Amino acid sequence: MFRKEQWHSSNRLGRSLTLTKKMKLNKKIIIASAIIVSIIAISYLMENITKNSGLQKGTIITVIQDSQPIAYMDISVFKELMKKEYQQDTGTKGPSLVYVLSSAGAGNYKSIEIKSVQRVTDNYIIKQQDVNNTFIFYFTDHNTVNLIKLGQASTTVAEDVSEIIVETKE
Amino acid sequence: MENVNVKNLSSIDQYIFKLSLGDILRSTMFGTIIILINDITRLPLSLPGHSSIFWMGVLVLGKGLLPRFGSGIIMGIVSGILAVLLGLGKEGFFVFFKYFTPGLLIDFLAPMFYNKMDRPLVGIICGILISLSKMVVNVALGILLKLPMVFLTIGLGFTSVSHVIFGAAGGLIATIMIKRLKPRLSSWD
Repeated sequence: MFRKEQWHSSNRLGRSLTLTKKMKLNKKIIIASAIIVSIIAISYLMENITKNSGLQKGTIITVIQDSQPIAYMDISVFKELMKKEYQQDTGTKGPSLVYVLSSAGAGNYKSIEIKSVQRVTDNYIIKQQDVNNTFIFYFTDHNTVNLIKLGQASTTVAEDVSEIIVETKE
Repeated sequence: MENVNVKNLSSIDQYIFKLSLGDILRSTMFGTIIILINDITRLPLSLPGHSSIFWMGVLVLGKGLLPRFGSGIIMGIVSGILAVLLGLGKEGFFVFFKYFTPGLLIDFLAPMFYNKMDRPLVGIICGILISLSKMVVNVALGILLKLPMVFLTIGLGFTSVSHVIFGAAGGLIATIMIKRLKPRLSSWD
């Protein structure tokens, strides 16, 4: 009789322990799932914060081809492109527009529109026949780039470039 | 007298982390498998974190078959050293941490889930978490090596989702394999 009662009580204890363990396991699975969701959310948040602040300040430049963004670039990317374009020091202060566009994968363009952060003037539009190596991106001291047209008197055509819009269709 | 001998023998058997020599050798084997699979298989998926399907799968499988603490760390150390020696990745020596961290993390995760790695949900969650730890180490290494922030942050959201999917797939495959292998490995010890 005693043994039977003891067996029953130990069985009950075992079952309750298993239940508690299962409950704890379920709780831990829920907590782990919440951690996973929060990591994904933080990743998207980080991406958006960096992208938005960069686009507003002009530290990130978007290359858009036919209304589709094809590349995001920052000043360090431009510096790397400059090193690749001019392997010997030619005194040029930045990569050319043609080299940047080909690096971004843009080609067969009919026109190129340059947008600035400060939209004081209209966007600068370059037609296909005018595109050449005289358009150079010039680095500023606040991690942005200006587009300059080299010539006898070099002129800044766009300050703090934020977007390069490429149209491949007329 | 006999008990003392048995005690001495068991203490000799334990090398590091209370693991026997057999367990250490098996962990080393799993660590080597991770590198071999990562180096040989080149899936043309062009998706970030797709290697997690094998990498995290083998880690979860190894931890499921060798539940003692330390097996994950050894798998991580072995795969990390091999990755450095074979020149995997573009991070140079720092690639070691990319391989070591998931191994270290699974050693702490498995006891939290009572070492029930044969349960699909536990396997999936462990696979996802260690896959995400690899992604976090990747970002940290990028910041340390002063890579452009554009490369690190643009597309990070999609990268995390991709790591979750492939980590979960790896974890699920591992749980199926643990269920099938564990009963057949009765003479494992």
